[in-house]
Amino acid sequence: MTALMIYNAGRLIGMDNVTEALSELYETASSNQTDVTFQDFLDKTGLDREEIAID
Amino acid sequence: MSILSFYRVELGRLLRAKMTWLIIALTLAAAAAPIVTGFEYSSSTQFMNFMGVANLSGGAGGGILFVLLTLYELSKMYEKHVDTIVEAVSDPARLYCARVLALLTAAVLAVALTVICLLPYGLVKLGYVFEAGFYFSSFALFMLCSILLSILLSAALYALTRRASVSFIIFLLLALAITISEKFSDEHLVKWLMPQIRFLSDDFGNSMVIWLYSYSRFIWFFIFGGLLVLSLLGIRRYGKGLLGSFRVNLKHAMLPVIAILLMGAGVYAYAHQPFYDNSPPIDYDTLYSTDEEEPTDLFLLGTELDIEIEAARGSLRGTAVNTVENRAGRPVLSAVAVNTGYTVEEILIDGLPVPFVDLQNDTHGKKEVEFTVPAADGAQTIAITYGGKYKMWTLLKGWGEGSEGIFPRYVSLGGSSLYPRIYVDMAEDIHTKGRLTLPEGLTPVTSGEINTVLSTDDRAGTKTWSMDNEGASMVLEAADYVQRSLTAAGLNIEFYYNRKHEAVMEEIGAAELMEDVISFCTELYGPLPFSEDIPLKLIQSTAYGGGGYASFNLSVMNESTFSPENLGDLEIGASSQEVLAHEIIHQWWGLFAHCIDLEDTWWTDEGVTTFTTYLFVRDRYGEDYANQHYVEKWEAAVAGMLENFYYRNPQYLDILPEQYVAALEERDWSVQMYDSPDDL
Repeated sequence: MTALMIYNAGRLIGMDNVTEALSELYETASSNQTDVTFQDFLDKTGLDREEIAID
Repeated sequence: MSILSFYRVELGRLLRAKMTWLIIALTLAAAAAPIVTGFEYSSSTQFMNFMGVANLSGGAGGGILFVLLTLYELSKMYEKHVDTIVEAVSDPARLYCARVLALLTAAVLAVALTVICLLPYGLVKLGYVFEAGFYFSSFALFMLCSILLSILLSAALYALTRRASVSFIIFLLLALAITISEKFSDEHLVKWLMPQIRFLSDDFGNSMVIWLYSYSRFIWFFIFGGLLVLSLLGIRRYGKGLLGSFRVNLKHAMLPVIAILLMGAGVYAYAHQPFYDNSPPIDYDTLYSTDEEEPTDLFLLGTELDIEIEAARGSLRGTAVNTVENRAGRPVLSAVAVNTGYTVEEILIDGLPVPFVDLQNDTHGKKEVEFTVPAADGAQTIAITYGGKYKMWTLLKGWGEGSEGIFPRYVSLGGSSLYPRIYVDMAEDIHTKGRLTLPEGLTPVTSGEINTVLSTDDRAGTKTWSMDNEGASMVLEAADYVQRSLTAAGLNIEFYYNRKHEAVMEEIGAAELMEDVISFCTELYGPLPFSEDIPLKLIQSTAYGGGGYASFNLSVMNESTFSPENLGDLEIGASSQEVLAHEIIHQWWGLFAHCIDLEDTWWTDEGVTTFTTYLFVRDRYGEDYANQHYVEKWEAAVAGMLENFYYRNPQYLDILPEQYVAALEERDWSVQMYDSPDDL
């Protein structure tokens, strides 16, 4: 489900913007040893939960 | 006349009959059919696509054909009404035994001819993969034993029923019930006609499947042999029926005793099988619980291991010395978790033995051993001596046998299967390190630093290696590996692959593929934080190990990932090549960054890794291919889950049998993790 949600986000804002968001999340999480949540992803992409919901 | 004399006569008669040779020819054809028709297991190995399918088809087909021959031969005398003449001059039970022995001999002949006829094709088809020992032993163990057992069962049924048609129907029911029933789908030990072989390894040996089916054959030869002996009491005498003949035949007083002993031995062997532990069915709520673990008041400062693995025996022995601090200021009840096949022999705290209790509480493939850590100022050492034969978690039954364990040509151990894991809180900057002794032919790859040879014992044929991992655990893979050093995007990589596969690795350019994926992800997400001392270790593992896994700086990939067919076949969609990419991408998502969300539990590392695999595939093979093999697959899987009645109405799960609920939960879990009902 995660992959499809991210893909849906890419359809809305462009795949490059999604990968840039993931890249920043990776950098933060790996250097600070923190977990990446779905809300972090939404915040980083500026999307609302409902926009990419699949149910 | 003795049984031997009868046997000579019966065998000569049988081998002169055209029917016998027709059955032998059809048995050979049954084994050759999947090879001739080009039937293949997708994403599998060359052994599986040749010997695996030939044995399955030949065993099942030959078994049914020889049942027909058995019933035809045993009933012929009665159908032609010559039994009264023959039995007037011979002991019916001896004659019956001789006929069965002659039929068993014909089956041996059929399989021998099959092995000889398929040998040239096997030599050409398998090339460097071919192993004469496994070729012959696989046909003996799988195909031949299936046919022999079929003959024994059908002969016993005929002696009891005296009706060929009834015996054949009962045989089919018994065979089909075990072969296709869901109830027995995971039970290797009961698959006496058609072994449940899904994988065969080309490179890493097949000891587990050989051990399992040798044991299974042992069980069923005892049970069917006992049944045949018992059925001899039912051979009709003096025109009497079954019960009347039983009474007459009971003058052979030893027959029922032998029958009961044989069948009892088979049942006992089944009940006391040595392969699986007694863990209860998996509870996914517990396994994936996000509850905080209780603090133990014990802080681990480091672990020193000294482990010797006897690969040929499937066992190990070792000592794990944990340095801990008891910060409770009082004695603390502690425990270690250890593989259920191992025994803790001794626990010393600061050199003094302490009492301990093996709780024998098999759960999730391990058991616990409890002991008390006394109050003390400063650090204490807890030395645990342990050893034994590795035992499988019952969760692996039916699909994961051979993926973890100790085998003559492959070792894969981690967590409590490598050494007893003490329940502690973690201090920072700790190491798990020590010495590992293996047979000379096995090269270890452990999480952490590169393993170096510390000493060689030529007399014992062993080498002792160093191991050092930053953290509180250790993962071990060992095989006859070739080690190759690579560099991608500035990252040091150690690539380990089986020596048997060396030429193919060069031919398919596996190293270049790895460098490609790593360069792509480095550009996309940034570099991996590995140093020269702790490189990324990419490891080829057995076909029994599923797609692969990533742990610490290890990224482990199934051997079929590297087969020429799989790497060259993009039509199979999420191919092994893409599994290789997927596993390497876990170095970014799953190892150094974690997607965990307590509210949105479907948000996982697997999902982001699967998405990144899609990006890599799209970049390399184009949007159409990526959409067809990824996006459309995700949409179908997620839609299937959302439309599932029980997903929409979970209240009805309460009234379903447990195994159905577990299957549904497992499917949903897989979709949520991988966007696919099948693990990638």
